[in-house]
Amino acid sequence: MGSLKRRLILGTAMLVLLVLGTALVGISAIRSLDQAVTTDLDAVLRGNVLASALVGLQAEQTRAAESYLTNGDGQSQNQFRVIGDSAHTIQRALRRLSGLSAEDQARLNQIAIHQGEVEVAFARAHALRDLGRPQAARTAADQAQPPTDSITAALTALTTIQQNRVQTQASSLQRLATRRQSVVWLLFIVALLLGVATAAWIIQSIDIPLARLTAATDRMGKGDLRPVDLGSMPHELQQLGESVNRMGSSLHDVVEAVIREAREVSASASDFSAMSQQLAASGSQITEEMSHVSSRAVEQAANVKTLESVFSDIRRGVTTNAGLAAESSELSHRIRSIADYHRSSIERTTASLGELRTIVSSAGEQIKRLTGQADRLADFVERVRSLADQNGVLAVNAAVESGRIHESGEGVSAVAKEIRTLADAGGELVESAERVTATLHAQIQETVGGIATGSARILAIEGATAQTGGALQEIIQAVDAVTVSAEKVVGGVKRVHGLVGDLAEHTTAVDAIARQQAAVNDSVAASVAEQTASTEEIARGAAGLFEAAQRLQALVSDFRI
Amino acid sequence: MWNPLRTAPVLSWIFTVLTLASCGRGNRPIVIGLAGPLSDPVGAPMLAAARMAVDEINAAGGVRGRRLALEFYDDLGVTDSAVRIAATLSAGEAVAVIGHAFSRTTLAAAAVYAGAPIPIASITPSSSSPDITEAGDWLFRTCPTDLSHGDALAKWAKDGLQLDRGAVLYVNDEYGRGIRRAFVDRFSGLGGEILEQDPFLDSPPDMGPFLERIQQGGRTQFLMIAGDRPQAMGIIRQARALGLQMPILGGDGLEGIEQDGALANGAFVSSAYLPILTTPANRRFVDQYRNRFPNEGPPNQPGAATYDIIHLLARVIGESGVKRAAIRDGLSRVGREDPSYRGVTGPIGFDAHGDLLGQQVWISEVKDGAIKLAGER
Repeated sequence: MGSLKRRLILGTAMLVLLVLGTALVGISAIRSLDQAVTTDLDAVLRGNVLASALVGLQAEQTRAAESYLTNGDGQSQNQFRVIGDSAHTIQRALRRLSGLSAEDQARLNQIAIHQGEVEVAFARAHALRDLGRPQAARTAADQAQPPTDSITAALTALTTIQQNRVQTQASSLQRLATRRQSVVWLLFIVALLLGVATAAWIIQSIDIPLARLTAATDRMGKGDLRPVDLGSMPHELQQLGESVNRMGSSLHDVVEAVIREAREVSASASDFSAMSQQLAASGSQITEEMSHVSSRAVEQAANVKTLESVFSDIRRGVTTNAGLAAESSELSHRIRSIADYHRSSIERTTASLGELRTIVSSAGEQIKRLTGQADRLADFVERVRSLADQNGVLAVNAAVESGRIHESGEGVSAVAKEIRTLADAGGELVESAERVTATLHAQIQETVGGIATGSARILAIEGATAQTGGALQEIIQAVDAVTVSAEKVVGGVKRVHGLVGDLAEHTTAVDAIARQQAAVNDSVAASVAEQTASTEEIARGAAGLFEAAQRLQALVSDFRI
Repeated sequence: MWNPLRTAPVLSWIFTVLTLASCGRGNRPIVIGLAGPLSDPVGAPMLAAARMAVDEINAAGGVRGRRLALEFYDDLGVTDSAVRIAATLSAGEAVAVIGHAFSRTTLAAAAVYAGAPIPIASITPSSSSPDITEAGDWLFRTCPTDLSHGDALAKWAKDGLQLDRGAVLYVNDEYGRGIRRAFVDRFSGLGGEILEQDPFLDSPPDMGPFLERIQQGGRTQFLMIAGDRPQAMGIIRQARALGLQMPILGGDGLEGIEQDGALANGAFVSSAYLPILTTPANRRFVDQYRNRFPNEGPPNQPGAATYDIIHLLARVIGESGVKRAAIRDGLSRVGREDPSYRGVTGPIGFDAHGDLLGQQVWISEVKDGAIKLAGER
């Protein structure tokens, strides 16, 4: 309800609905009345027309029947039948009329029956007439009168009932129309009152808030940007008021910012002016420097030319070094093959010395075993000596005994003598064996000493031979290292050759760049000249800006924020 | 004095109430109205055949889980009764009506059925007037129109019997006038001559002057009677009494005339149904009918058609529901959007006017108290 739009829509919708309702009720009333009147009128009209037609046909049929009775012409008889068929057709049409009650239908049935009776009566009369019985024919024809009267009465009753029904219906419709008319008037008055109330309500809803809004905007127009309390008002105007307040607030912020910025601009404009002058001076300096750079670039281009000839010499020297390195590599290969040959001779000598040392070692072992046998021989001699000594003791003991048993001991004395002899011979043998053993020991000791000396010499020779082989091995390794180095030198020389080529190309590129640099330098110099001109322009602008800032400060000083 | 015709409606109402009460409240039956001259030889087979069909359907489980029940009234063949019965059935629980049997009663009641607050469809088994064609969207019929009967009889008289001149004696109601008009138009069109067109109303009628004139004229070769069976017998009796031995032709109103004695011999009757037809469905129907109603005569066209209509309604209610409008719509689709129903009277379907599609008329001859097929159209 707070929205002006909703109020307008609501009010308008209510008005439209009421007007629509009024119109619908009116239209409905008119339509229903129209339909009822149309239907009833149509039924009554059709009923009256049909009833009248039926009455008329009946009269015609009677006339035709009477005509045949009088004249006997076939045309009248045929007409009588045709009119009868038409009468039955009208009866069926009457039966199909809308709004007929069961009583009406029964009445129509009676009319049809009476119609049949009339026709039968006249048909019999005609037959009797044809048979030449006019009196009987007349009597028969007269029998048609009661049903004819009944038909007329029934039709009259039907018409009257229809008319009464229409009158009743008309009264009912009149009452309905009066009620509908009252309802329409009531709806119209309600719509009118509601419309006036809605209009007043809407105008009031707009007018008061609008006046407050006008006052607020007037005050803002005068420069008073302080917030305004607009009070309660419809949604749209509330939004408008809030927008005005927001606008004032924004304007307040803007003015504040403008003042602040104006001050800053004013301060900055001075600095800007000074800086632009410095910039102009810097531009002149840059021009000079660029001129210098340009001349150095020309020199650089000349140096590059010189560098190109140096690179050409280097390329030739590198090519020569590559050839020497190849020769060195070949020479190293040859030294290695000679060293390999001598090393194999030394390896063979070392093998022969090894075999000799094995033989000497084997002789030493044999001498050690001989020494052992000499020692065992010395032990044997010692045991023999021990036996000879025991034999000597035994001989002494035998001599002593033989002396005590002198008379009986001559045998013993002989044995003792023998033993003494044997002991003496053993002693001599032992002494001889001891001399041989000593000689043998002395000789063995001499042989052992000789072998030890020989072994020492062999070991010395082996050591010298091993040292010679090691020296040769070192020579081979040195030669291999020289070969590898020579190959590396060849590879390095090739890479150096390539690098020198690349360097020459780069030098050419540097030359082109130097030329472009010179052109750019010229362009930069021109730009610097333009910049200098622009800087002077900026300096003039800064001065104008400063003046504008001053004026802006003067303008915003009127706002109340 | 006790009058069975007056008490018949009361008895039928009591029977209906008892039938409805016996069905209980939990599963209310679907009520089908039946109206016609039920105490008349024409209408009695309608009620018998209707009961037979309802019993068959209920024995098979009913329709949509509900039993069928008949609410039947005897209109005595009188239009006023027909109108009152139509008002009663329209206001009741019936979902559809079978009836009425005569064109006059059917036309009188049709406006009531169609104009009810909740309109109800009616299907007439035997009303043949051409006027029924234009009687509204709520009326259907399962018999050929008088145009078909009149056409078949005229052709049979002219071509079959080689007769050139005749007299038409017609009951002066919707039925009689319809047959008369169709016959006269067709016979004249075939080159024949109609010498007399004489109306009557009573039953039996006094046709003396007309028959005497015919006799006096001496040129009439046959009598065409457009009335019901008692009226026709009265006319034949009078004609024979006057010495008129000419052939008698009649419309379907004369059905069953073979049961009326030797006077009916030689009569030619047009019919939309004959119990002597040898189709399996008809044989089964006739056998069951005779077993159940051994004291009645053979079923006639209104009876056989009523039997078919009950089964047709069961199918339509099963498919469309029990709302009156839905049943009407369902009936209007039979034979066009939906397949025709094949009954004992032949295939049943409806055209846009509610008339039977593919109408077929048989011509039978009465010989020695029995009917014999004479021709087909």
